[in-house]
Amino acid sequence: MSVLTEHAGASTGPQTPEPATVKAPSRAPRGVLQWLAEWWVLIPLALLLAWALLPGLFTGQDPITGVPADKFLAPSITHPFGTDHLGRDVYSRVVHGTSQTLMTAGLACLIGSVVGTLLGLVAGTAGRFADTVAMRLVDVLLAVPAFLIALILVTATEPGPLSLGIGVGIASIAIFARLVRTEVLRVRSRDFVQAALMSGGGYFTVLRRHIIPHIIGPVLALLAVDLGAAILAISGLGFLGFGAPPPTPEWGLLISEGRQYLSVAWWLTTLPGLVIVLAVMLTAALGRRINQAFRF
Amino acid sequence: MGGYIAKRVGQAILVIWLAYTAVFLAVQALPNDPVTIFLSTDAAADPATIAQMKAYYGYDQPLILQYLSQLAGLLRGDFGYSLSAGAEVTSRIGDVIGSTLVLAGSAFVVAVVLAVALVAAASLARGARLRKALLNLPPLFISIPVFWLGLVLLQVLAVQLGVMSLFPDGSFLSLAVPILVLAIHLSAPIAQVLLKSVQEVNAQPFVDVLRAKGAGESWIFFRHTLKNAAPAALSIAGITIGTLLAGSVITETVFARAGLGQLVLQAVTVQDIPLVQGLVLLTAAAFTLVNLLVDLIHPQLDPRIINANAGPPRALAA
Amino acid sequence: MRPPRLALKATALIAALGLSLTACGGNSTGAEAGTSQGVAGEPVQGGSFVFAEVTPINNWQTQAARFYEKANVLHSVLDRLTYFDVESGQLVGWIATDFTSNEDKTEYTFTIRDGVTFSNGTALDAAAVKANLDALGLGIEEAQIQPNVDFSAYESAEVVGDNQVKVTLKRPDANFLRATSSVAAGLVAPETLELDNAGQSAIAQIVGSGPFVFESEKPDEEVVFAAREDYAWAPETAANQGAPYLDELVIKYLPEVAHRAGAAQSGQVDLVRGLQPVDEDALSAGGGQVLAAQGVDLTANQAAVRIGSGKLEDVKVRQALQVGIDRQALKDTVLSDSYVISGSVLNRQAPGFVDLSDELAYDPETSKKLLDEAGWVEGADGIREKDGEKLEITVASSNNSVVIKPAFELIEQQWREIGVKLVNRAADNAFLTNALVDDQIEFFGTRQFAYGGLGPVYGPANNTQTLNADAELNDLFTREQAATTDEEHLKLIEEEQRELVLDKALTLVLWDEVQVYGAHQDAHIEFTSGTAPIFQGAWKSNG
Repeated sequence: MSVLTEHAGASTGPQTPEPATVKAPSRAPRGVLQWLAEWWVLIPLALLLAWALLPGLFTGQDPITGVPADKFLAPSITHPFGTDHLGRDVYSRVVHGTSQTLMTAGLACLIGSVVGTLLGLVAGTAGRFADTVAMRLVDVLLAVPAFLIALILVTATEPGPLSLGIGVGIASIAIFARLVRTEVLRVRSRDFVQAALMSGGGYFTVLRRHIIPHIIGPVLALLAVDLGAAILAISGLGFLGFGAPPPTPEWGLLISEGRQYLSVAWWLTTLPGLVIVLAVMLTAALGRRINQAFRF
Repeated sequence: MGGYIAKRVGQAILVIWLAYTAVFLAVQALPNDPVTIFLSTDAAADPATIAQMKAYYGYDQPLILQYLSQLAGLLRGDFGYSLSAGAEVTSRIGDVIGSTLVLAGSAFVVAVVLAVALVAAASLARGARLRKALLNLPPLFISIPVFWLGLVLLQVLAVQLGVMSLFPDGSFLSLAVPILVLAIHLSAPIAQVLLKSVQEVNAQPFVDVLRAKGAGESWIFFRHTLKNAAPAALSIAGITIGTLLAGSVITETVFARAGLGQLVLQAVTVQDIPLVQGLVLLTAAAFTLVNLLVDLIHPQLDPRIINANAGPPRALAA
Repeated sequence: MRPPRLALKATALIAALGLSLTACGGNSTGAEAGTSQGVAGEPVQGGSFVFAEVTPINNWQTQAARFYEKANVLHSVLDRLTYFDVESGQLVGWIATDFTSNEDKTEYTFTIRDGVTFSNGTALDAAAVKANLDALGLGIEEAQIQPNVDFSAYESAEVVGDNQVKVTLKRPDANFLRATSSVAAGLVAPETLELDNAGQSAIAQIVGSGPFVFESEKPDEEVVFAAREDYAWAPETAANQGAPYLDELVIKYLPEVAHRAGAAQSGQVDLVRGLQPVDEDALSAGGGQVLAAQGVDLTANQAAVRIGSGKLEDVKVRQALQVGIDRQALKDTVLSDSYVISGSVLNRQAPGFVDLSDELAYDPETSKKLLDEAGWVEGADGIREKDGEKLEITVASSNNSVVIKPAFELIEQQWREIGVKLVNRAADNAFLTNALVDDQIEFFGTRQFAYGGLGPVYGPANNTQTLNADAELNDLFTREQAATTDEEHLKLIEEEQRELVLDKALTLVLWDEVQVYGAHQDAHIEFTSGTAPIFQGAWKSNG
């Protein structure tokens, strides 16, 4: 649900023009320790990725078939996150739910970033008319509440990674488009772009050689943040009853299903909730890290 | 300036119209019409009844005619009839809009206060650790699912401690807690943008000059830094409208409050298309209006804006 | 999230509070649904009673009152011609002091009670009853109000003498009388019937003759009703024959399931609907009451079968699924002692119920055999397939029942054992909206008001359950409705159940409908056969 705020928070760099000292991403060799200090965030994220790709390595329990006699067991060594109303191991459901969650959120980010970036590039480079059209389109996307788009789409089709991903992704197009447009405008005022154009560089050549390399950093940073936002948005939709049908383990659904039992089994909402909070914070941290690395 | 305003108002109307049209087209993708759905909730209805009612409400018309007659209705102030609510769309929205305005409006104010307080505290904090801890709050705030925070607070305050009502009964906590839940979520992006521009202002030479003149840190912050950083934060206000509505849906659901958010959810669930479109029109209008205001106020706060955004960029060519 | 010390303190506080209240409040045994002697002690006059429903209602149009949210409230606002008394299993007089029918059940005559008035002062006389019957049977076209589905046989009504109304039906209908006891057949003032659609949908404008009268509302949050002091025409068998003991009735909404037990225990509400099984023990232990209102007027909770997708076209598949459900496991895992496993599609207390429990016993081996016979063979992933198509079926249901989704989650697990994949879309209201009219969606998880026979529920005219027209069944329904003696009627109802549950297996029955309410320990309340709280007879120990 928080797609918009999250993005707004991430569109950091371009708010005001920065000093025009151009510094390519540093390539100097570094020690492993130094790299770790800067990029530690990749390690827990890699773990999440491993959960998504090889869930069987991390848990031996069945995520979708429960043992009814073991329902509502509090967290213990056998069940680190406890068990749910059907006696299913919640930790196992969280681990197995990673792929569905990341797939849906990933699709949303992909749609938002690709379409948004294209729109932003067109707006920033293809002339005044194109800019007006693209920016009004962005306004329309912002003017229709993001979750409403998602709701309609999910209702018209069926809730699954595809519809949820598209629904949430459409909502983030506008933010990417705005970010890219601002970045493009900033870059193209630089001397080297002007020089390239003067020396007869074609539209696509200039775009490819000089503009795109400079907007990759901010877009990647936003992408990382957007991933977290999409996870939250999807869990919000799940809360409202627009999630994938059970027994699919999906993070947002785990919380929204568990909330019914909040008074008797706090772990059902709290532990998957913490996993979401951590994952979103990690992606946000990654976003900030990328931003720093690509700052120029 | 007059021409600029006229142009912006024109653009705003264009955006609202496009949003309305886009949603009109989108809802056509829904598998059933409102009459069939309404009449089928109790038991299967007689096809003749369905046909009669469709004709009455105009759902039997070709799409383009439905669209045009809706537009004509809008110009007369007729937003259509909500079958599911058994009321005019305007009266249904009117019933609950106040509740959302109170929630969202207060949440926005609290969020801004929270964001400014956070940024002030972080900027003025002495220890590096404290500063770092404060700086980590916005990312934390934004990572907490709104519904989770709301549910946990209700469980603890209303069920376990019994100090808060489970219902919106007008008591202080029953209003303050939902506002806070929404505000915490909303404050994060505002704080992040504000922080960013505070850092940029601080990097400017005049701050050093002030400092050299012996001005106190907090005096500099509130009199100069904040004032210069405010415009950037203002620009985000426009975007928060969508977040506010999305956040309201969840907050209203959790706290059993009446409001537009709940209404959007109901409208989509029962596919009450006139209601959905009425709500889209309303939110699109609110969004464009706020952004229009921001655009008009912005140059007052920061005269550089109007020059910087003089017009759309030319095509990429020498 | 929940510091144990905090919880302990709160529990202690609540317990202490509970003790002190019990001490001065007298006995508070759980009121049982439908019994008139469930409550001990003398009723205390006065007080405001807060009832929390599960979701807000905006459209109060009275003829479409088949949702609990609406019926539970309108029951105390609108009177009906007749009342179904669970204990005797008989229809008794209410606004009609007497009712008779002709031999072939095509004409019914109601004698209207004297001296009844609507809350606006208008007399509830024979003319007002005729106006209501016309609206129920024919609909009100000017206000876009369709006829009541239970009145499909209605042709006309006429006022006979000064206090009688004679109803003529198009065809025999043995269930007509019972339908006049339904909340959806509530009588409203003639002035209400004159209003447009918006007027008749607004609770503020609906005028009834019932024990409670609209006072104020905050849309989506609260409706307040005041007791009607001159109310003196309760159903014949009601314990309280006069005005309500309570002064005021407040309806609120509590959509979050997790909060309901706490609300009832702490006294934030006197009564809440939709208590979930896991909270029952905690509420009882904390001093609150768990009240299970048996839905005698309703079918069992069921998965009504649609065969439009073709996968369930073969009756063997449906029968396989019927015995592929371990109902006892359902009860043990996701339900509670408040729930009774179904023995048929009708409630155990409903007239004509036939016990088919033995035939419904869990038998996965038979399931597998039947599926094999039907040509569905196990594929590589354990799911059966036939002609390249997987046996993957979908269930839709509303989210109003707190147990329906977990129940189908468990059934999904059970069916995986026999090689059937269930897509569980239970409790997804947006999906249900479209699924209701889509015969490609194999199951509709539901329970329906059934007044008498099953024809109105599964018959061709108004059937949203199975969405199909089975000629044999329809013939049976017609015969049942045309039955002229009670004995013959009940026998045909029995036959309907066998056909629906066993021979055609068009409904997979689960548990008898029950609405579990949570009540504060001081609340005294009973329920109708339709699970609606009887606020007219309700009172609070502490006034």
